[in-house]
Amino acid sequence: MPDKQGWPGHPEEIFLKDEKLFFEQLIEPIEHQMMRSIWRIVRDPEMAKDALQDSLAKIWKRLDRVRIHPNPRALILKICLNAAIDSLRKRKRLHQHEKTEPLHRFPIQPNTTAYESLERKKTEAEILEAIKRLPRRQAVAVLMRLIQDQPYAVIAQAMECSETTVRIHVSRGRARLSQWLSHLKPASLKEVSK
Amino acid sequence: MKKENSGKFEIDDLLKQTLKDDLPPELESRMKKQLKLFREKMEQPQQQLREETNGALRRLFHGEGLKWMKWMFKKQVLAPASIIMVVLGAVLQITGPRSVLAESISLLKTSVIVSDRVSHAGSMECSMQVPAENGQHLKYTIQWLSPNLTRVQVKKQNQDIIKTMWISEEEITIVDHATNTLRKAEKVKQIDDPELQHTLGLLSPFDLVERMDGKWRLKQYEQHGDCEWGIFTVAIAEEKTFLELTVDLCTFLPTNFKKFLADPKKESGEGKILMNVNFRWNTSIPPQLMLPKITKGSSCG
Repeated sequence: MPDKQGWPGHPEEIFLKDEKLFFEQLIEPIEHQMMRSIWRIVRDPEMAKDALQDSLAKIWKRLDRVRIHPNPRALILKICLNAAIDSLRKRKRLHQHEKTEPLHRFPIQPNTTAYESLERKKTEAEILEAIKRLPRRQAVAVLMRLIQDQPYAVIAQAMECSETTVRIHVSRGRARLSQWLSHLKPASLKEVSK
Repeated sequence: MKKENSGKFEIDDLLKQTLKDDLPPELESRMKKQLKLFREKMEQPQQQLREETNGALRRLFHGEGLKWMKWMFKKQVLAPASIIMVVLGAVLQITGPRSVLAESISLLKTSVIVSDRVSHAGSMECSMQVPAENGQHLKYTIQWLSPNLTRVQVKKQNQDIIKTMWISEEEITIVDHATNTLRKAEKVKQIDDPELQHTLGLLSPFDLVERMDGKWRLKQYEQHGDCEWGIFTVAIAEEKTFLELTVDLCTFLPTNFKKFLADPKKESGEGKILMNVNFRWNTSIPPQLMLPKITKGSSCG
């Protein structure tokens, strides 16, 4: 049964033995999503490349599992998210002794002032820090839902759990993030919430 | 409910706004290259494997390779080859080194038998030599007269007996011949005489078995005629010392016990000798000797 994005529910047609077909039918159509998912979480060119490399290595290792998975594309995207979260955590360990972040991590965006750019990076860093603090499954569920816009059913397939469990993970993850990032909410939205 | 929902949207919006989809084009092209490379690697092994297998089979069954294959499967070649392999297997079996496991099992077996023989020994006499002051030696004679009676004599180098100790089930008596005094103790642990301290561990079969307890490793193994001799050294250093025990593998009883000072400069690690004990075990009388010889015509009474 196809989901909202037109993905096959049970991919008998992509139960592929041939590596070429596997790539063409499974990876190629979601290449952009893979790259973007990683970038949106890692926000660093080198880390993004590493995370993509790690995801590809994991996919390669679990090729047999991916092939028989009820939703291989969702699984691949979940692997990418996991690799991105791992990169975030690794970065924390690598730079925990450094007081300042390397400059290349803060490229100044066009059409913005230096102050705006710096503020945005600060917010970004706080959000990523909060994501790192979330339990892994909650983080994956929240990011699949919010960043990848996946339906709950697809997330459930990727995470190999029930839809209810995914909803609980997303809800708890959101609640925690709201609590930790309450000071970052845009003023307009704060008023609405009142 | 409304409040909860609004909170939900706030955080959703915050995440979507901040972690927006702004993948730099340069990075995108680099990541695409990575994916392309992965695809190539992914498709390569299967194709490569197929080609290599085909190549190997082609080489094997064509031309010279085919000739060799045909020759190898001839009966005239297979029969001698199998005989050679059987012979080589037998040679390896006979001449191959003893495995560590077999050696340790044999050592364990030996130590169990030795402990059993010692603990059931009725009587024993051993002479012990210990270095004393001024380059002199003290000589000891330890006798297990019966399972519960031990006598120890301490002699100077000039053979004068200076001390005698009697250990019975009830008490321990120490006679000092030099001062002509007598002391009594209840337990072996209460013996505080430094000259008699050396005898501890040799005063009864139980003591000796306890002293032999430890991780012994095989140092030397010799076979003399029907009997086998084995020398074991203790692996654990006892207060910077090495212990060496020689066991007669015919009777499974110790014949010699040595204590060395550990010397790291020497290859064997054995330095000055601290104690040398030679055991003499009273061998049991052969049963046939216990039977009286009855000659024809002799009569009782």
